[in-house]
Amino acid sequence: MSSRLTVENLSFFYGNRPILKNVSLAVAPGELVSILGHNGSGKTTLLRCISGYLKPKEGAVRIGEDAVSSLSSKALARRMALVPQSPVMEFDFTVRDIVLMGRNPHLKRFSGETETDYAAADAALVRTGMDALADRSVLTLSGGEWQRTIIARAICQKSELMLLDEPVASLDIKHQIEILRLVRSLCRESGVSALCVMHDVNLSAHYSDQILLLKQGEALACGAPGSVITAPLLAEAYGIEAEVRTEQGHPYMIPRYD
Amino acid sequence: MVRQSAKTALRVRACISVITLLVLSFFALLLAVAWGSTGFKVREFLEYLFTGASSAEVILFKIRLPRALLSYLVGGGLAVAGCCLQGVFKNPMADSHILGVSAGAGFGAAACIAFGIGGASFGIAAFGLGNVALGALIGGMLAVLFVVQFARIGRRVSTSALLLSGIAVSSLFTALTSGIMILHRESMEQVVFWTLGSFTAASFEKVRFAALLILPCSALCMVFARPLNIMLLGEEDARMLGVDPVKTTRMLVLLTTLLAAGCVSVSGIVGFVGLMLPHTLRLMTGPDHRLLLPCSFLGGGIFLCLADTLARSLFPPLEIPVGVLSALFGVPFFLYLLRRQGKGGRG
Repeated sequence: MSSRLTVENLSFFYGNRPILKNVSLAVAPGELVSILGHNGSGKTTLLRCISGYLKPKEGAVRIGEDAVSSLSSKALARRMALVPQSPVMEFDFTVRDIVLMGRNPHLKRFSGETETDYAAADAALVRTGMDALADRSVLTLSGGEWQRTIIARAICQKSELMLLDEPVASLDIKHQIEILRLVRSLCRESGVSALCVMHDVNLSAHYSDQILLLKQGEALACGAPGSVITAPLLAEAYGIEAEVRTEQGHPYMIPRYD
Repeated sequence: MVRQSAKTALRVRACISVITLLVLSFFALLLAVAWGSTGFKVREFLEYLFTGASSAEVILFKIRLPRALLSYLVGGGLAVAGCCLQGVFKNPMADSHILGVSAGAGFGAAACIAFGIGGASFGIAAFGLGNVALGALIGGMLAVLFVVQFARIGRRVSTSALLLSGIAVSSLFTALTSGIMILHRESMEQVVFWTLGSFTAASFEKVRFAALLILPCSALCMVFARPLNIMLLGEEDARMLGVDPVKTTRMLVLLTTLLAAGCVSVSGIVGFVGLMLPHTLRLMTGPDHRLLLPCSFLGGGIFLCLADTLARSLFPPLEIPVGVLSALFGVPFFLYLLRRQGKGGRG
């Protein structure tokens, strides 16, 4: 099966300091892949190299058959959507305005949004449960609602790959579960591929099809959660002692606190 | 159903705003032409409009009409430039001044006034402008060139570097202007009055030049309305929504520089309009640039046209510099809106 996203031997340096060393990854259609690792392990940098925001020093990033660096920002945005770590909007657009911005890559410069675009936005709003808040100013939203708005925007973009940078980091456990269920259902039902930077090991283990574990810019392990979330690998990646059990059919890690 | 109503509501709101401002524009221009020390009645003016010759013809056409049109165009141009730059830099303090346009134009004008560079012939031959205006135009654009050059790292222009570079280059040009004034005291008064802004010297040639520059540049800025909305989300986000932030910023800086330098060259430095008019209108229309930019143009035009009418007719024959007047009336109104927004009014 051809993969939707291919990362081959990617290396990235800030000046002379290596941030990513020889990282490879393949994401299949409909797959949810998590990137785990300690703070500063290069997770966000990897995501930015994939999105083309940073230019890798070595290696290749391809979406389908096309090199990411060869695509214009519009062409890229039609195929790849981003849910950034802490999006900011200080102006009082409505929720629908923000979601409709996801249609921009599909619009010509001089043409406005058509009924199709409004329909796509409405579908995305329903999907994320934000339809009741569609005409609210985004300045009045809670953290969870704002995050769902951004995800609705990414859905509205109708791209084949979604990049999510710690999508649940600032949310309570109910909203964490809600968002990850949503992302997983997008993958299962709509065939979208998702690449997700995560901090919570157990949430990743439960929802992901594949996990890439980074340590100081190197891929320590990559594969199904059962093969990556193991006591020895966690010890090496995070420097912690942990017991790994199986809960609800997935690995579950309990760290030693004292 | 929901989508129908959402789209229609947006359209209706946009139409109401634009039509209201167009009607107000018409009355502002009418007032500017009709109101003056050579008193005449609106009826007489309408008669003149429809039937032709009248005793008021000379005053109307040679003096008041170009002056009204010029102040309207400059107000609109400055407001559009300010609005674009606030969006591009996501900075409420941004307007064409921070790019160094005003300081550069001031220097260019001062140099021409003090040294009488090139005589009148060159400038008039070039654009139908005086040499002072031409000096201002060149000075303004040169300043932005410096500012952008110093703020550039490779292809990228970072916002904070640009703002700092703008302040630094502005200070330099202001210092040079002061230097010229001290060395050429005989031209000091003229330079000072130029920097305060005035439409006294309005002519149809200037209106033609201003219209040829300001109208197309403003229209082109409006083409970027949707990318501008998206740029408000930040550079990384904008890229992934199909907006190239580097290209968009470069294009808009170029357009706003042309706009602002064009405005300043025919009017001198008029502050306040570019900074506060877009804010004022944003509080009324909301942040969507597709509506905000056209409204800024119309609102800026109305505001400066009225301000200039007051400036010339409050204490005749003395003229108050239009920049002074626009600040005196605009700032309290703006502060009132700001307070109201703080108390939870429509923001």
